[in-house]
Amino acid sequence: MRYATFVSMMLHLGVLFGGLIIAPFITTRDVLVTPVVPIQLLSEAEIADELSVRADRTADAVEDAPPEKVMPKDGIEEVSLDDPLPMPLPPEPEPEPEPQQPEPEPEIEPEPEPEPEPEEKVQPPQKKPEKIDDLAGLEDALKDLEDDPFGAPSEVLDPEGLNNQERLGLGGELTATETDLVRARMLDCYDQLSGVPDAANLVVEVKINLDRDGTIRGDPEVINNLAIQVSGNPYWKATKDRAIRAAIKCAPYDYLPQDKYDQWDELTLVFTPLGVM
Amino acid sequence: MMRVAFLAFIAFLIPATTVAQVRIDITRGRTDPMPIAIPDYLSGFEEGFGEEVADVISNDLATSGLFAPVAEGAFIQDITNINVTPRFADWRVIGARVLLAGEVIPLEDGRVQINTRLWDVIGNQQVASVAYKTPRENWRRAAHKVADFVYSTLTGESGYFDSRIVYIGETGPKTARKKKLVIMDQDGHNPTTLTKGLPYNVLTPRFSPDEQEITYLAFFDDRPAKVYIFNIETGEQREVGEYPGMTFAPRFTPGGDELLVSFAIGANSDIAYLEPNSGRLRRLTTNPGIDVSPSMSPEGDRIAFASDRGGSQQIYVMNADGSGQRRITFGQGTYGTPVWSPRGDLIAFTRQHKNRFYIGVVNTDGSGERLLTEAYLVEGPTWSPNGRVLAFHREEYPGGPVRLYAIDLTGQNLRRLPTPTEASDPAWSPRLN
Repeated sequence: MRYATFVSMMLHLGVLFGGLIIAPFITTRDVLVTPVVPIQLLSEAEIADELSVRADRTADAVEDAPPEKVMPKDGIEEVSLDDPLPMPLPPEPEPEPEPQQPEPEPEIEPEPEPEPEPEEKVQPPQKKPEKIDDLAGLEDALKDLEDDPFGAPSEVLDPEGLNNQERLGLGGELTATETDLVRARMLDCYDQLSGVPDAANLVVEVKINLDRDGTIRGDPEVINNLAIQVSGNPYWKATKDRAIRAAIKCAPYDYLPQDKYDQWDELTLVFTPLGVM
Repeated sequence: MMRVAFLAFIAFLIPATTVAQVRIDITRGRTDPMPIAIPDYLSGFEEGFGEEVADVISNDLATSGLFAPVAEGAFIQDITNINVTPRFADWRVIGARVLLAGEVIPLEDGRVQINTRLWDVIGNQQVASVAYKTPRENWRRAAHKVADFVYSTLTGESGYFDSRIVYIGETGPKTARKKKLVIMDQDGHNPTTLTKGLPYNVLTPRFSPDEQEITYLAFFDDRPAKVYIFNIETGEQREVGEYPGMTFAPRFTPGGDELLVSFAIGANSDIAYLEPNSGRLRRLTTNPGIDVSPSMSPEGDRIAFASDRGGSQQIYVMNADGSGQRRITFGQGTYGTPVWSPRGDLIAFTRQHKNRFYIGVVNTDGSGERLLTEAYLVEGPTWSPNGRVLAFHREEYPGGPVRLYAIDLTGQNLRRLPTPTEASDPAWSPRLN
């Protein structure tokens, strides 16, 4: 009987842990780069209205919709706008945007990427973290000695040895000073909401995958996106938008030490807004 | 054997779930106003119109203290078509976080359509868009609605720019003041005197929840003050109540069907419901002390009021039926004019201590008291419809001019509200439709 209870307990634990592993993979991802498709409730007349606006943005075609709506007291009627046109738009009839569009496209896209790359090759940012490592070396060494029976101080200070350990998940964690660097950058990148009720509970967990040059690979993923959507809390939603913007704005994260890349190739940034007090 | 197998299974799972994933808590960010670029709205049909629209929106957002419009001179890209994705890098480089691009289009029926797109120049995407068709003369209000749209999209809380403030306009010498009821847009535009030519002075105006009526105290030279109700649309005003003594400090309940008032019996005063149509009083407190300034929670389940029953005047809270009365402030000095936030989470109050007045907020259970501003005299706090900003009147020194001010809930962004005359007792309207 006792044995059966134990078996049952173990099975339950197994299912529980299995769930914990799978859970992060079933959260939805935030789409950032793909074009935004705002949801609009439109009548047929409004759709015709919107299409006409796109074809020729004069007022004539917009006149079909009003009779269907109850005019508000102040006479101000809200209507929706069509999706914006993307920048690279060859068939655009207007002559002005056309020459502009091809120009900005190459400017904008490569701009953020090439910038960090040359910087990285020159490697000034690498030197800084190394200095930080030296400063924190003693603490690290002591810590690893305690935690890891296979580790040694010399290995902790040796990048190659560290890499071996990291692959095993045994050490070389980012130091407090290194994570503080990220926090310091966020002081400018994260537009923090303030005066928010129940702020402490409106945590937004943003996971970013980073390349070695510190640029973000793919889109930032909001781990607790489902909870935010389900809550319907507008402050939480606004904090989420600001958190994603902060994660992108703070890239590249090339100031993190190269020898610990295995540690920061995936970062989870946990944002909170400021409360009322 | 089975036990070993399960232990091995668990041992296999545990490392998998605890593999070091670097988590960094970001608890502090930038709380400075968010830089927003607002180019003039395009209005090819009439030069200057688009600029005026952009100015109203820009002024609204800037005065909130949460946004900082980027100086126009820094703009690199000249927006010529708001329906084409802008060059985000051009806006990022001048420090903007978001870009608001809009246009005004004339409609055949004489109205105008104000189109707006809000762009996230960091995430390279459109955040949202909105358009308003409005009678031309109402363009200013439509612009306030656009500002509300931007504010709510970026902060998560509803805006308050499309709202009005009623206040007491004061003229004449201090000894013989004329006090009239004046209404204006929240940004100070369109001030209109509502009670011109009345034979009495007016005090403590308060909006009804539907913004159609204002209740106030009419103050006479020859008889006790009385509560009045004024209809904004018809201009009709009427005295409310059959009570022979003085009734004062009226305030609508959130349902709008009743008033909460204080009424005086000799040297005592209590709190009661006053039914506007029948004029009947329904008493809520019977304490021998002075109970004044009732204000109901937005849910309508509790009432905050001030009372001197414990010695000095302090803030108390009771249930809507008068039961469960309990004190929530215990500080030195006296506390008065509690006002329940429309958000429900805070009560604003005035505190007087050592010849200084303070305006502060406290949680509804009495915890977390915080003073926001002080002066020789600060009084009459009123909440913006979203519970984010407090307006009040302030007298800097004895005998100095009385002016309206506003301050953010966080204690930041103290600013003066423009009024053509001296002004006191502001009351912020609910959000307009």
